This record gives sequence, structure tokens and C-alpha cells, in this order.
Amino acid sequence: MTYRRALCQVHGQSDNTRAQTVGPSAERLRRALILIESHEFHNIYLRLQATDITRRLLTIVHSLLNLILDSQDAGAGVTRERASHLPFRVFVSLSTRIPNTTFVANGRRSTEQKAGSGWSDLWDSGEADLWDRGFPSPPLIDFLEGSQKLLKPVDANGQPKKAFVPVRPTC
Amino acid sequence: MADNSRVKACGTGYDPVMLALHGFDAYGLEISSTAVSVAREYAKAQMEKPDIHHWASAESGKTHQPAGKITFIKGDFFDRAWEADLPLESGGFDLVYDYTVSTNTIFDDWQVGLMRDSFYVLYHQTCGSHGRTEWGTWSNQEGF
Repeated sequence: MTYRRALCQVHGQSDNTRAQTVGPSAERLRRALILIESHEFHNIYLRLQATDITRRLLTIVHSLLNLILDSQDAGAGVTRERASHLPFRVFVSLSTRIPNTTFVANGRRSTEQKAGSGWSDLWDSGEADLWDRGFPSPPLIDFLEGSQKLLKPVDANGQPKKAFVPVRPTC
Repeated sequence: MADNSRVKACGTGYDPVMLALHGFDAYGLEISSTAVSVAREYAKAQMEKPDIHHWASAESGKTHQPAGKITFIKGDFFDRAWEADLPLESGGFDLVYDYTVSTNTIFDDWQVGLMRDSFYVLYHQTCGSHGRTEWGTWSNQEGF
């Protein structure tokens, strides 16, 4: 497996972690980690997106880091000290990095607007590449190409179907 | 204005371009005007000479559909003003790919009306021999 494909697959999985972070997910993260380990990735970009920044999320991230380190210890003979210097990055929620954004239990609307403004600020300051995965979503590509009998890109009249991709930071 | 040489297409650009290269008319919604500009530049370059990473394999890249059109819209998902720029009068969308905006509450009153829960792809599919259509959803959470 080449380095690039490995990175793609990690991203494919990391897209999914968004759903897992809002529920009990330690087991799923553990399984994800096993998958990561089985491919012997050299570099792990794991982006966690969440709709809320909670202690639970931070706990999950902390657990994930420990799982990575433990499995490095057990599987690859890498010491915890060395593993801590491996070039993996954990991208916690987008919104945690947005300047001047506060998180409140209510007032969701205003928080969303702040996040949107912060997102634009990141773009205008050239920092948006922190979340640049560098290529289209591998699981989406696999889905499109694996479902061509069900999901044709043209309708019965041969006209292209319409696809929509909204992008918006969430809080 | 950002130094675009440092910033790649990022979220808005990659997936709509890939969808267009697979034959869909793709629409990307992005709140940042800078991101929209970058995405448009990226799309122009990629539609002329696409990278192979838009397909699962080199083989599938050789047999791809004629490309669809691609449109980027600047707008805030939570401010419905952008809907005026969408082709909803002709039946709305056939596929929605989302990884940033969906939550249960957001989609409760959204125009498609069938969106619930968090998911990645909602698509219009034809079932059976009578041409009946229905919405399907897909998420690759299973087996994760």
C-alpha cells in the first residue's frame, strides 16, 4: 500500500468520526484504530468533527490518543515516547480553532453565525488549509462508482442529475 | 485576500468537482467568498485536466461519464437566502453530500423535507421497472 492511498483511507474513515463523536463511540474508535494499524500508516490525519464541544468529546480524543499509543507499543514495538513523536495529527473540531468563537449551551444561532464568520476569517488569513484534506472524499467516490446501477448521474431523459454539497463549519 | 498559492481548494472544491466529473451537475455552497474564488479556480483547472484522485482507480477514470456542470454559490447554510440561487424549481437535488452541516434540527424544516439524522449521502434513485423514484440514504458508518 502506498503512502498516498493510506492517507486517503484514513481520511475516508475520519470523515465518519463525526457521527461517532456524538454518541458512545469508544468501541468504534477502537475499531477504526485497528483498521489504521492494520494498514501500517506512516502518517495519521484524523479529523474529528463534532456538533458540540463537550467534555465527552475531549474524553474521546484523549482515549483515542492513548489507544494509538498503546497499540503502537503493543503492535509495532514502538515505545510510547517514540510514538508521541510520530507525525500524526488529530484535528479536533473545526470550531475549536476558530478565533473569537464562544460555545454556549443555548443561543445556537448566534454561535453558528460566529463560527461562519470565523471560518471566513480563516480563509481570508490563509489558514483554511489546516482542514484541507487535499482530495475528494474517497468513501464518496467508492459509493458513486459502486452504486452505478442504482445511482446513475443522468435521469431518464439523459439530463444530468443535480448534486449538492453544502460546506459550513458547525459548532 | 488570502495568498491563494498557500490555499488549496479545500472543502468546497474537491467533492463538487469530483461529482461533476462523474456526470452530475454539481452545486457547492460555501460561506467564505475567498473559498468560493479558490474553488472556482480549482474547478476550472480540474475540469480541463482532472487529477486521477477523482476516481477510485485509474481504470474507472478511463470509463467515466461526460462531465456535468459545476456551480459554486456563496451563502450561509443557515441563512436561506442562498436558496434563490438554486435550481429548485426544476425538482431540487437528486443527491446531497454533506459532512459539515447536517444535524437533526437543521434538516427538520429544510426544503427536501426528508432529511433526518446525520448522514453523508442522500440520493434520488429509480426503483423497479415503473420508474418510481424514492430517496435513499447512504452512510458508510456500517462496518466502520
